[in-house]
Amino acid sequence: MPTIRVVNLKKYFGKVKAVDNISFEVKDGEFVALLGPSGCGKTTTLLMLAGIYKPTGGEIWFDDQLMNNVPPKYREIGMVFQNYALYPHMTVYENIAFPLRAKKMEENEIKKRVHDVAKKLMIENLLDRKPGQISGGQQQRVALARALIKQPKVLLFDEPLSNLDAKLRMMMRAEIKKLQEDLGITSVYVTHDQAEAMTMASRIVVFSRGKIMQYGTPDEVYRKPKNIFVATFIGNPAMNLIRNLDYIKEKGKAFLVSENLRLELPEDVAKKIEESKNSGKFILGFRPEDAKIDQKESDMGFWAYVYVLEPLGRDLIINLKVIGTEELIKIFAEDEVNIKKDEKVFVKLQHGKIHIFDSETEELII
Amino acid sequence: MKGKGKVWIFLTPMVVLVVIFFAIPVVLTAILSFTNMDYTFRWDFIGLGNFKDIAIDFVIPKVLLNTLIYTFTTLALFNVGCALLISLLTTSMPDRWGSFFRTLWMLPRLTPSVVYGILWLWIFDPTEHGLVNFIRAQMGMPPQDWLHQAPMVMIIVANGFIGASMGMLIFTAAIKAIPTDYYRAALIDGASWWMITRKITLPLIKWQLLFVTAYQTLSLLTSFEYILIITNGGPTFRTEVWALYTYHMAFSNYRFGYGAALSVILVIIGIVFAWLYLKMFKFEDLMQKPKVEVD
Ligand SMILES: Nc1ncnc2c1ncn2[C@@H]1O[C@H](COP(=O)(O)OP(=O)(O)OP(=O)(O)O)[C@@H](O)[C@H]1O
Ligand SMILES: [Mg+2]
Repeated sequence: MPTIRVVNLKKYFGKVKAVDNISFEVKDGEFVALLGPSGCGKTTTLLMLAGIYKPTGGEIWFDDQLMNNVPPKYREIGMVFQNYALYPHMTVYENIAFPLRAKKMEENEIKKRVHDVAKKLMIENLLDRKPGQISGGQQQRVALARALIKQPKVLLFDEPLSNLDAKLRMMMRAEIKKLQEDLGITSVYVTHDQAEAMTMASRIVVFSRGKIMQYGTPDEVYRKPKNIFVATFIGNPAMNLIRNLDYIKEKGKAFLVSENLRLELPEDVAKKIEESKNSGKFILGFRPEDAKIDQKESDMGFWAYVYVLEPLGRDLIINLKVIGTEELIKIFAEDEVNIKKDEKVFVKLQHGKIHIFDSETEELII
Repeated sequence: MKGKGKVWIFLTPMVVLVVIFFAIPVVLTAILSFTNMDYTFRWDFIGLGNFKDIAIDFVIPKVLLNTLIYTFTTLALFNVGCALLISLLTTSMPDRWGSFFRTLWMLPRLTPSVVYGILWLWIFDPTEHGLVNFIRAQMGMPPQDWLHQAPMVMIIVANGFIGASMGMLIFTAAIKAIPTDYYRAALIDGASWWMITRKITLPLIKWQLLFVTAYQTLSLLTSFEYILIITNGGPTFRTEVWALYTYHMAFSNYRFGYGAALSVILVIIGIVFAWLYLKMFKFEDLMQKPKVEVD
């Protein structure tokens, strides 16, 4: 299976820069997710990998072969489309057989292969139905079968699960991942669902407006987001942000302050800030699970009012209004907390679990 | 007001129009076909007399053959064939060029029919002033009298060029409505243009193909204005088609009863073809259950 290398890839539609100078690599047999909000250029990137769109600039390599001018049929790609793109007038059997017919394969061999792949995906009993006569989840399997039947070297998925209900999505998620691991096919998986990207991919390309915001493992993009976009896009609920903070030093101690808020910083954090090139304004970020509620003040944290409680069965999300900034934050509660609406509580942050971004560039400082 | 009553209110104007301008003339024509009405406008019922005359009319076999050749050649080569080819080609190229070529094919439609007919008379003029003969002259070839050489070709080409535009519009719209992802999937799977056309495009525009074929058959069977202008059925019945013959009988020879009988037969021929097409295209398969179920 090839290693895919994308170098300075661009695709412009007139003035729209759908994909704007991106580079990333997908290793042999790796499962990489392209994650980003609607309209950020994910599908465009995928269609360039498939050879449907010609890049405006840049290069696509499969191993050491430049693919820019290789037509789709010679790329040995299987693709699953968002709406499955099953041919409505053909039976499931004919749909799956289509890529083999295009190769003019012998009828016996086609039959054998279709039944093999149908068995693997548990759709053998649907072979003589039309796509309109099976459910969304079953159509999804048929689309997968059609992509797999020609034994491709690269698999491309364009939001394949977005039309399924939540439960089915979870199931298919695991199934696709297992299938990919078993077959070891280099895969690129487009999605706007961060849970999908986090659970399935070994690395995630986070996209925004045609540009790559970060490329890393699920853990990296979660634990060390490179900028505000990644920090807030990944994680549910999103990372809490407190904006518009100034950095000051008093009596050898470092603080992030706004009008009514004062947050003492550990020494190593202060040092990083001083060493960085910055605009003088900062954003503090922390994940909902990295803060604790306390009744009394301690060294690193701030006071807030309880605004709304959101019970989730197993978890409880506490919405708080930060005193002094009026900003809303969300925090996962400890097991048996006993707090009430409008109560004043101290939000205690954990050393090493806060992120500080520059206000202007929105890039991570520490 | 509610329910069925409202439906009738909306339908009534249309129904009245259809009755006045279609149903009544049809009935009158049918009645007329059993009479011997002529230029004196006096008439007697003569039973099946007109139909018996048609059966022994020595021009009829020639007219019937002409009609079939004219209808199906125009249909196959132009109204469906050429229309389909243009749609397939222009939807396979960048849209800017596609629209340009399609607009070109629409031009004859925008020309008044008499002007269009005369245009073809000029194109096929037997002297060197005609377009075709002018081109031949440039290549050192003598002028030809096309009207006597190939009158059938003249009327087929003239009708085809204008007739192709309707099919083209319908096929193009149908092809453009096919989701792009079908084509992307097929390209990735390595299908050739020909395979994509045969296995995806054509089956998905089957309904439009049926419609245009049936509609154009009927319209070619019944319309004759360009033939009237270009050859007037001549020379010596070589382009006399059924509809034109009907017209000649009724309005040149003033045999209204005979003309009516001829048109009754034409209607029957039309119905037979329409029925055949529906069978051929497995119409029941195409008729889907209603998408929304209401009472
Ligand atoms: N054929 C096209 N012509 C012009 N603009 C296009 C074309 N295809 C995409 N775009 C534009 O390029 C941008 C990226 O589109 P793309 O389809 O890649 O987004 P996406 O990330 O796949 O979004 P979604 O999650 O909604 O599918 C969008 O702004 C879109 O409007
Ligand atoms: Mg998309």
